[in-house]
Amino acid sequence: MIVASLACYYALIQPTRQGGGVPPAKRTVIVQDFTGRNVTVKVPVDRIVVLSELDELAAVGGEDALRKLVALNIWRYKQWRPDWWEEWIKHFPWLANLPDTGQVGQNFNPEVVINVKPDVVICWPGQYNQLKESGDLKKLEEAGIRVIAVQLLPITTNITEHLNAVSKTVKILGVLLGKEQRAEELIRFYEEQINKVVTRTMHVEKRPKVLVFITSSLWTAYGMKGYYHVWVTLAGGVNLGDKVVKGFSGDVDPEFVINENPDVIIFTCNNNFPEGQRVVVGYTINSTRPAKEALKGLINRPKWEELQAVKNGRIYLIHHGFCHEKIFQFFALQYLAKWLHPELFKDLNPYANLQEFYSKFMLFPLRGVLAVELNDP
Amino acid sequence: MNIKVLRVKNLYVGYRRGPVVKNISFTVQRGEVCALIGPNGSGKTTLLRSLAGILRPLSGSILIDERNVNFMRDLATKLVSYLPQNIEGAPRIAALEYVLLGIAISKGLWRVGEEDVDVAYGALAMLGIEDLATKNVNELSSGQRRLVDIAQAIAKKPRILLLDEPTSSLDVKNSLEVLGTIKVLTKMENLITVISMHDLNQVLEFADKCIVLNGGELVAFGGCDEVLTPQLIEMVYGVSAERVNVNGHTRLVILKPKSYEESACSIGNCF
Amino acid sequence: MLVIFSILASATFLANICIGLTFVSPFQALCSVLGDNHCVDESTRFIVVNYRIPVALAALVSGAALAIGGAAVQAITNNPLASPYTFGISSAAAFGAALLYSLNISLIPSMYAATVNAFLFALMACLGVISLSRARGLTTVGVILAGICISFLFQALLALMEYLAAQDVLQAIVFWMFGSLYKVTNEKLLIVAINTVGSILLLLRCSWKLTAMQLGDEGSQALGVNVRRMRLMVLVVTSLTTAVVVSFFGIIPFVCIAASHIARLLVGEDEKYLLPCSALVGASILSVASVVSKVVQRGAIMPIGIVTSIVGVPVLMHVILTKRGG
Repeated sequence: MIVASLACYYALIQPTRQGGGVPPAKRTVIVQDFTGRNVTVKVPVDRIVVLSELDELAAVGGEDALRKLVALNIWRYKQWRPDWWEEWIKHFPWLANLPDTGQVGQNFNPEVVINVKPDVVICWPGQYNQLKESGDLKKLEEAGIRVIAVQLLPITTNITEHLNAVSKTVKILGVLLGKEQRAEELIRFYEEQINKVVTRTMHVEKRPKVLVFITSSLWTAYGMKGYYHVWVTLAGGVNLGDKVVKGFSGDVDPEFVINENPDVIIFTCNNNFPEGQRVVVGYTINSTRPAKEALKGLINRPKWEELQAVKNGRIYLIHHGFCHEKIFQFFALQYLAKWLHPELFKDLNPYANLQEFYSKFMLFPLRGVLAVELNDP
Repeated sequence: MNIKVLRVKNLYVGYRRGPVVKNISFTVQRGEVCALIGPNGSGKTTLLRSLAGILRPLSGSILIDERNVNFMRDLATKLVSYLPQNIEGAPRIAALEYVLLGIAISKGLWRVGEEDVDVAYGALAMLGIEDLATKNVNELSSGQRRLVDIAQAIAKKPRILLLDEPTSSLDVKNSLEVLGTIKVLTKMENLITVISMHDLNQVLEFADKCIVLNGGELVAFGGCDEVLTPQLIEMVYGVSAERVNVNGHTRLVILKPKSYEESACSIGNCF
Repeated sequence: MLVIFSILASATFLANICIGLTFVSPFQALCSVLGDNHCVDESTRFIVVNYRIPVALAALVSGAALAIGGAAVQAITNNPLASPYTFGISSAAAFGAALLYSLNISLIPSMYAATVNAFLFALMACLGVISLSRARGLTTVGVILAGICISFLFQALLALMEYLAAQDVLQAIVFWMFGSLYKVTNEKLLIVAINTVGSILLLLRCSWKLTAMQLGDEGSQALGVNVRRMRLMVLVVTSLTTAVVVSFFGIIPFVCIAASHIARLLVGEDEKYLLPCSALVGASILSVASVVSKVVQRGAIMPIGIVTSIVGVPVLMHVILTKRGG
């Protein structure tokens, strides 16, 4: 009787969590991840280590999932995404007390992971390969730890492949966290956002010529195997870098830029500018002025005043961190679409869409300046 | 500029480990060929280096015409020609250019003039090796290289000539010819010449004065005839010698070292 | 020989101007320079004046600067594999830039902070080498050992900066280190040119003494060369020259060694010919490398440091295999 009343009490008082009431019972599943391996794992998992980033975990599993973290790649956050890290610990200060695994390929410490006895380690395929090469993977597997690699941005302009990759990743996370329903919602939201662009650009006739530059170096542009090859093409443009840079990125001949006369020029950077460490975009920025100043400096090159892009003021800056391997990377596609085809996407509001995403799926509201046009009012 | 006298007074020269040349004093007049002799390690090279301005003396003085020139490198460069015992490196430059090197540096020139080229060529000719003028130094035999080095030393037209074993690696004929040339040059140009030598008969033939060193100390200084007695030779070198007269020339015949007979070591006994 | 190399240098310079994304004929190039708008169209003139000529001139003077730096250092250390880079100048300069990017520390805050940082640290490396080797009496061995020591120091510091760097900062450091002549500006060109010409003249004045230094310390001192002062002077002059090139354009390896080696093979070891010839060979090599970097993938520019490395390694192997004594 005591047991029964305790059970009822438990069932009734149980706070409603996102995605359902009573936690589902455990079952064993086989997950095929992005390295092609079949990984057997008992789900839902209770102890998680994340070597990549937190947003995807949070989007699928909410605060519950966050609380299941037993270790995290804090080093990467502090070094490479300091303003994002500040947001996270502002809302969840206990994150800072988690053991730090270190960045794969630099100072990764497998012992930290082994000590916390996780059910699963989540990382990117690139990180998986690095773990394999350094021998750390073997150590983790010998300790019975499952490593699962997920990917959100394969370099392909085939929209089906793209959506499949995102869907697969989100589903994997859903299964692991016991939040399959929410995962489905997330996938639907993402596909909707992507389709808002792709359905229109599929039939577009005039494809503007685009060059996407890295701000860390004067003449380096993204090429055939770079992320922006995907975004520019899907957004209905032509990535000029594809012509001459066959790899991820490379230096272009200044004459090439003059000759090709791009219609749109986009600069990408993370939350800071390498030279002088100016912060021009990111969560902590409230105004578009710093970015615009930066852009003015960047386009100050001989004869650029005669380029179509400069004459028409089609110069943009976008936060690189939001554009790859993120569950909200649709933001990049939408901004690019708006910039490449302003008339076609007059009704599209990427920032508002991202805000909606944040309020529905993320654990804190969106803020900051993430994409800037040189000439917007 | 003619130098009359080179005087050394109570000279101590050495390195960090201590003085190698101890309390040496002697005087050389212009037009004199002075032979510097002594066993290996007696300090001959060290003394020459200090006279050349390369090694600063520990104490004492070196006086040129009563002017103290201890370690005055610039003066040394212009007035002194020093030929070291060994020169590293055989650069790929023509022998003539090599000789010009000495002239150019001593005169502080950027470009050499025709007169300089003539002097260089003349120096090579004086030693009978003008045909080597266009050959690269790294292609010469050790004897030819030595001759070229000597040519370089005399082409500088120094007032003081310091030669450290100039005839090593030269054959008998070349040795005698070179020494003869140097002696003639010394007399004609009123040079002060100090040559470190091993062959005592060559000393008798060509040198006017002898400086004898042993263990860094001056054992004897004076005319070679008077200085090179069998007693001195035995004391300094540990070999027995006899003076003989051949066709009016005094010569020394070296007999085997005394200790040789008393040595327990004979073939088959030592190994 | 000097004449031949001058012609070679001029030819490669011209080639560098004419070859590129679009071919510009020498006649058009001349017209562009003369500002005559009738014989060449505006866009070609613009390209020649704003991109081709500055880059070609940069290749010329930088190649010459690096080459004489190499030749001079090789003379005073009697080692055909020595170069200013073995003093750690390149690592120190890279560290200077990395320091700015990673920790935002600039020694003299300005628009050109990275360049200034790089230059000052390169000079510091040279100072380090000079002081260390002075402790060993500025001997050949002393200089080489000091160079190795300072080199390792700055490589370690550079690695530390890279470790501490954010992702795009890391990228920035890497891109900085790749040599690129496209960072050229008129001011930079002027500074490098004055520096290079000054160094050549200074070194030529001492060319006899530099030649003598191949005879070893004893031999050269016998001729009246103040070996310590010579080594000091050469270290200072080459440090300045190389530091300027590295901080302006990044790290361009192998020109120092390759140029002087080729020149040495052809003109021998007489410094009064070797120095100017090395300079001309260096200018030619870098001009050729610049052409190659434009042509490999038209429209893209392959970092010039990579091109010189690929060409330089066989030359280096040849040096090692034919090295005789010294």
